Order: sequence, then C-alpha cells, then structure tokens
Amino acid sequence: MAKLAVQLSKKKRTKYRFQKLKMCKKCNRYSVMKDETCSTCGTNLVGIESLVKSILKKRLTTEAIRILLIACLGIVFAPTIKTMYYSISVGIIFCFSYVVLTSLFVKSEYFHQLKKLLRTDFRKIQAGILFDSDLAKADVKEERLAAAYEKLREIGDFISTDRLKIRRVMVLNEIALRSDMELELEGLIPSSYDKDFVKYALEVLKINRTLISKKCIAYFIHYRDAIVIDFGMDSLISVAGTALRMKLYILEFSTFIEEFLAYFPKERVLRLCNIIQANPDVEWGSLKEKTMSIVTKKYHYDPDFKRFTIERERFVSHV
Amino acid sequence: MFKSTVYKKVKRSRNFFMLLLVILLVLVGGKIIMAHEKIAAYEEAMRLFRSGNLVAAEKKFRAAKRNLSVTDHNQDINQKLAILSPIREAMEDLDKSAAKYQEEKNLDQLVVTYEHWQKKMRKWVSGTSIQQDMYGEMLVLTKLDQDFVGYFSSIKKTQFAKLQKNTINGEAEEEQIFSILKKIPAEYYGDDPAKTKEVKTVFQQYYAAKIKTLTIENASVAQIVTEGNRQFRMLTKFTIDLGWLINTLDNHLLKVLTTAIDKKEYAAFAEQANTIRNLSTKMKDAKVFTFIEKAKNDLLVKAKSLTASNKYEDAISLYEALKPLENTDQLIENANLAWDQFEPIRVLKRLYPTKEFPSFVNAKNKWGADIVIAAISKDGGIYFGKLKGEEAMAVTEGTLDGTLEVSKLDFDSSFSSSNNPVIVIDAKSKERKHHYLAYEVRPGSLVKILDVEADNLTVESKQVLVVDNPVGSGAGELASYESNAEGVYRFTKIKVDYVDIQVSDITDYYGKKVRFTANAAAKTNGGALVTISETYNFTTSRWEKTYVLLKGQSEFTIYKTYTVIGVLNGYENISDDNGEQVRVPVFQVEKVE
Repeated sequence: MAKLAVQLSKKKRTKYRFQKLKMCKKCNRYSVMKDETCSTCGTNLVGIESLVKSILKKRLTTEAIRILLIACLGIVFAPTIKTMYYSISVGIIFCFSYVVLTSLFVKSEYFHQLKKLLRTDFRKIQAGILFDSDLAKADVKEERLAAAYEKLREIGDFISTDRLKIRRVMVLNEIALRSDMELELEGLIPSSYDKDFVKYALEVLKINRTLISKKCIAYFIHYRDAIVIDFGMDSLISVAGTALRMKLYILEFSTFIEEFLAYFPKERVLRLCNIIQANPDVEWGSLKEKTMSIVTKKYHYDPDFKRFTIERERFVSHV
Repeated sequence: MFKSTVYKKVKRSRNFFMLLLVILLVLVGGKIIMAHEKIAAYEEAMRLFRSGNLVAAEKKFRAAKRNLSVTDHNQDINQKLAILSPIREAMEDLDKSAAKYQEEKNLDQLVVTYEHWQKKMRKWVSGTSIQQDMYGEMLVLTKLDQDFVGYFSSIKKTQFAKLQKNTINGEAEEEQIFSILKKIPAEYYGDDPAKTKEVKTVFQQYYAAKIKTLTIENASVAQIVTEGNRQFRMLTKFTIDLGWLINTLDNHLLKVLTTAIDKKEYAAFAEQANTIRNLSTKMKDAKVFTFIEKAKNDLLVKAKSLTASNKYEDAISLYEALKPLENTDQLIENANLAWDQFEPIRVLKRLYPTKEFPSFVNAKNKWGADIVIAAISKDGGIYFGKLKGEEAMAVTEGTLDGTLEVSKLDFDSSFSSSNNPVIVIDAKSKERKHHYLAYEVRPGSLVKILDVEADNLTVESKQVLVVDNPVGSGAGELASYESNAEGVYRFTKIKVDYVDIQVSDITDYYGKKVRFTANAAAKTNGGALVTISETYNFTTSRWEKTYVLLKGQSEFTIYKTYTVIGVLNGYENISDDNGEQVRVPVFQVEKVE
C-alpha cells in the first residue's frame, strides 16, 4: 500500500506544557489543539494564561463587590444620615485597600489561581483532551492524516500512553516520511514490543539517524529476538550501527555493537575506529580489541585503515 | 462531568454579586434620596411652623414622619404632630363624615357629627394658641362651618319644598319631616324660638294649603273631615296652634252645608252633616254644628208638610236623605202607609213583584173599602184590589182575552146590575177608534160584561149604553147595548143621533149633529163650497150669495149632490166670485151617505 505524501506543520513549542491548554468560554471545553477557534462553536479559544488572568480579575472584582455589598447594607440599615455617610466612607476605603493589597500580591495570586484551576478543572481538561483525541480519530477515518497526526502530536504532550503512541506511529507509518519533517521517536517508544513502532523506527533510522536515541537502542536490544523474527538481522545491524553515533552510546551498548561489529559496513567501522582512536583514555574494553581485530582481518589492505593498523603494530611491538 | 469550570463558577459568582450590588445600589440611592427628602421636609415644616402656616407645616411634618429612611428629627416631628395632627384629622374626619352623611341623607349622624364638631371646637378654641390657630386654619381649609350651613340649609330647603309643593305621602312622612326639621340644630334657624316658630309656620302653611286645595277642588266633606281630623291629630302631636284650622273648617263646612241646603241636596247635606259630626271634639263649639241641628229640624218639618200634601215620594226622599242625621224609619213607614193609600198600585206591585202594571185606576171610599184599585198587567192579567186601613189588600184577579193596548181604565158601577164594581177598559182597536171592555167584580172572580169595538161609547141610562159605529151589529150607526140576565151587554138596536134639516137652516143648528142634502158648487179651502142662498142687490147691482163650506172629506166632486151628516162647528174666510173676502160657516162632515 502506497504511503501518502503529506506536509506536516511545525510543532508549536511552549515553555511549559500547560501553556498549550486553551479553553472555549462558550462551550466550557478545554483543548490542546493548535487551533485558535473552537471546533464546536467557532468561538475564539482562550489560552490558559489569559484564562487565569481573567479569572483573577473576576475574583478581584467579586471580592470588591462583596466589600461594597457590606458597605451598601450598612448604608441601607443606617438609622441616621451620619451613620449612612460613615458606612459609605468605610466601604470605599475598604474596597480601595483591598484592590491595592491584591495588586501587590498579584503574581503569587496568579500562580495560586493557576494551580487551583488546573487541579479543579482536571477532569474537564481530561474530557477536553479526550474530545481532541476523538477529533483526531475522525481525521484518521477520513484520511486527513496530517491533521490527525498533528492533533495526536499535541495530545501526546499531555498523554503518554502506549495506545496513543502506537496510534501516532500507525499514522506515521501511513505517511511517506521525509527528512524535512519534524519527526520524533523517543517519545513514541511504547512500554512493550510493538511491531509498528519498530517499523517506524527503522524508517526514521533511514531518514534521520540522529533520532535514534539511547532509549530507542535499548528498546531494540530489549526486543531483539522479536525484531529479528519480524524484521531480520539487518534491522539490528542498522540500529547497532546507529549506536556508533555518540561515544557515550558506544560505551553503553559496546556489547551490542561487538555482536554485530563484523556485519558493519566499512564506513561504520571506520567511524568506530576514529572514535576509539580519538579517545585513547577511555576504557573501551573488548570492543577496542574486537574492532582492531576486524580492521586487521578485513581492512588491513585499506589505506583508510592504514593509520589504525600502523598504530596497532606499534602497539603490539611495544608490547 | 456536570460540574462547571472554574471560569464559569467565578463568572457566575461575580455576576450574582454584581446583581446584588446593583440592587443594593438602587436601595442605597433610594435611601440617600429619601433621607435627604426627609431632612428637606422637616426643614420646610419647621419653616412653615415658625411662619404660622400650621396646616402646611403639619402636612410636611407628616411627610417627614412617613419617611422612614432615617430617624433624624423624629422626636421633634412627633412632638409637633401630637399637637397638630389630632386637630387636622378630627377636622378632616368631621368634614368627610359630614359630607358622607349628607350624601347618604343620614341626618341623625349628621347632627351627631355637628355636635361632635361643636364639642371639639370648644376644646380647641379654649386650648393653646397653636391649637386655636390650627383649628382656625383647618376651619378655613375644610370650610366645615360653611358645609354644615349648606347641608342643613339644603335639608331644610328640601323639607320645606316638600311641604310647600305638597309632595308628601302620609302622616309618617309628615312626622318624618317634622322630626328632621326638629333635629336640625337651632343655630341654623337663628335660635331656639326662631326654630320653633319657623317649623310651626311652615307646617301651618302646609296644612292650610292642603285644606285650601281640598276646598278649591270642591273635595267631598268626608275628605275634608278626614283631612281635618288628621290635621288636628298631627297638629296636636306637633304642638301647633289649632285655632286657624277650626276657623277654616268651620267657615268652609258651613258654606258647603248652606250650599247643599240652598240647592235642596238634602241627602248630600245629611251625609255631609253626618260626616261633619265625626270631626274632632276640638271643633265642638263651631257654628257648623248649630247650623246642622237647625237645618235638620227644618227639613223634618218640611217632610212632614210634604206628606200632608201627598208628596210622599219627596217626603220619603227627604226622610231617607235625613237618615244619616236622624232615625227617620218610623216617619218613612208612616209616609209609605199614607202613600199606599194614596197610590194603591204600589201595594199591587208589591204583591205581584214580577208583574208590570202599565194601566191602573183607583178610587177612594168605595165598595166598603178605603181604597180600591183596578190594574191591567202587561201579561194580560186584570186585577181588582181593596184596601182598608192597615189591612192587607184583598185582590180579585182575572185574565183578559188577548192582548190589549189600554188607553184608559176606569170604574163605573152603573154598568153593574147589582152595584158591583165594574172595571171599564178603553183600549185601542184596529177597526174602530176604541175597543171597550168591562169586567164586573163579583165575589172571587172578574166577569167580562162588555166587549165591543166602536168609535165611541156613552152611558145613556142605567144598564143602557150607546155605542157609536160598533163592529158587527149596528156598524156605522149609533147602537144601543143593554145587559141581559147574566149582566152581559149585547146589541139591542140602532140609535139615531142627528136631525134632518134643509141646508138653508144650517146656521140654526150650530154645534148639533144634522143631516142635509146639498150640491157642491165649487172647491175651495180644502172643502166643497155649497151655496145656501142667492139674491140680487140692486144697490150694488150684484148677486149676493151665502155659502156653507163642507169639510172632513177631501173627495168632493163639484156640481154633484151629496147627503151629509155632520156638525157645524166654525167659520172661515174665503174669496167669493167677486174676489171679495167673505166669512162662511164650516160644516164638519162625519159621514157621506
């Protein structure tokens, strides 16, 4: 089945994830979508920060009104004109003082209000995200894969369940991935073996090796047997080759690399040799020995490896 | 799931409190305005109070008191109102009540209101200067005094109008009007004596007008007496002078009775007099009673004299008329007895009440009775009655043969061989001028002794009658009728009653029945002219003739000779052959042979 060629938009990035939360004042529904208008009623969505500010403003107004109410009651029940004017004066002073004091502590009050809002409306937020998820599902059904993926991507910031991850992976597997796409991998790693994920990871590996993170390599190692069954040994060799990307990964997965070292292409072996040579102080263990052995056996005639073979001979002679 | 978001809760809470605030702000605004109004009202009230405008000040104080927004100056307001309000309220209440009672026409309550006002007024007028001033102002404002004047004047006017227009129905209403007028305080009449005088005057005028109306309308004495008695009773009840009523009634009734006497309306007089006797004892000295006694006695005397002059009907009528005044039953009985004897047909009519007696005749002191009467009833009965003293009438009755149209009825005992009473009837005949019948009264029956139709009937001698031109035997002649053994009259012979003469002797038999033969020379003056004599006058060289004019038969043919029976009984002027007027004897022809 041919994959669809789509254009994915750039992911909006915020300092904090909660900043992605929006709410429709009309529907009282939260959303994490990038959309600026409510998909139900078309009203402009309000960001969580603006919402908190608005709530804070209303709280302040309400409190001021309460003070004024008490003052009004005082005026209404004032027995004489004098007491009536006392009530008016006291009410105005109290109200003014409250506004001034609250203004002084407005920042802490803002955060307090934010925290309270997130806690209180937790279920509402959940329901909102679920609604978003349903929208994404609908998009998938109608083969609007880019929109669906973008929705799932936004939801993924708030929900990291295997189900969602696999749903995202399945959508991505339907798309013809390109290197200009803003892809991610580590965030999609499920907690158990998933064939689609492995498929996607191998696809990503072809496009952008840098996305293969330590966690991803560990996943491949952990489910290597299943992967070998489903995708063959080459897939593991590719992943092991990707582990050579960073010195830390080489050290971390030296055993895994050693296992497939013999199947590495020249370029990968050359890179490993370069890294090992560049870091002579690092304890490479048996990896170094095995690497040198491979070089000696397979590339001793290759001028690209000459410097490593000379070095080895010097070492051996020294010894 | 159903819980609202924090934002919504906060918004709702703010809106709720905002709404409360708006409501309270309205209340606050209202309170501030009202509080200032109260202070303004109080200050205005104080200014008015100081300037002596107490009613307006009281109004403002009340307005300030009604304003409960604040309690400022309440003590002062209450203090001022405690002085001013009772007067205003009482005056307004009095004004309102008075108007209401006036509208409801509740005089009792109106008078109570008036007395209440007077009581209050005395209290306030003798109170503090503020009370006096407040009362004065309220009086000017409510115009209570003028209102009361208006109300009571209106009531007075209405009641006076009722009395003047005479639109009152019954004593109850009169008493009510008197009561109403008495209830109106004396102040509105002037003073107590003026009130009494005015009320008495208007009632006196009212009653006088009523009597006057009755007299003008010629109301019956009964009505006047009834009204008079009613007025006596009412005037006594109202303690109003009666003298004028006594004089008015006395004069009028005297006039009425005098008129009745003058017009000889005795029954009316007696009725009126009797009615007048029912007048109140307060009239006992009135002249009318003396007049009644005198007039009654005069009328009794007159009735007696009428009886004596056989004017029984008039006498009895007078007695009957005087019945209401006097018991005249015995007098009427005596008069009736005398009348029966004078007109015995009345007795017969009483004995045969179903019969009518168109023809009757009576005679006195005959055949052993004081009065005898013969009568023929309409149904063909013939009756003979004898009346003696106060005894019942002895009647003998019979029946006529056929119906008769009686012209005359008479007694003639000469028809009877045994001097029994004989009733002679002269009836109308179809064939002759008269139909003569005679019935002899024999013991227990009436026997017809004569029945002849003729032109005339005369009694020639005892039991011999001369009948002129009877039907049957002797027709066209004078016939003699004589009684046979049964006393019944029968034709006996023809009777001649004229003298045969020459026409030239006619003037010698003036008024006597004669027969002569003459030639009718000419027709003139509705008769035939007969020449008696003819002589030549040499002096005048003319033939002078004497004539007799035959009349009584229109069909005379001139130059024809007639034998006529008749009577010379007059003269007439005719024109002779010379055209001169001559006076000729007129012979009334009874028969042409």
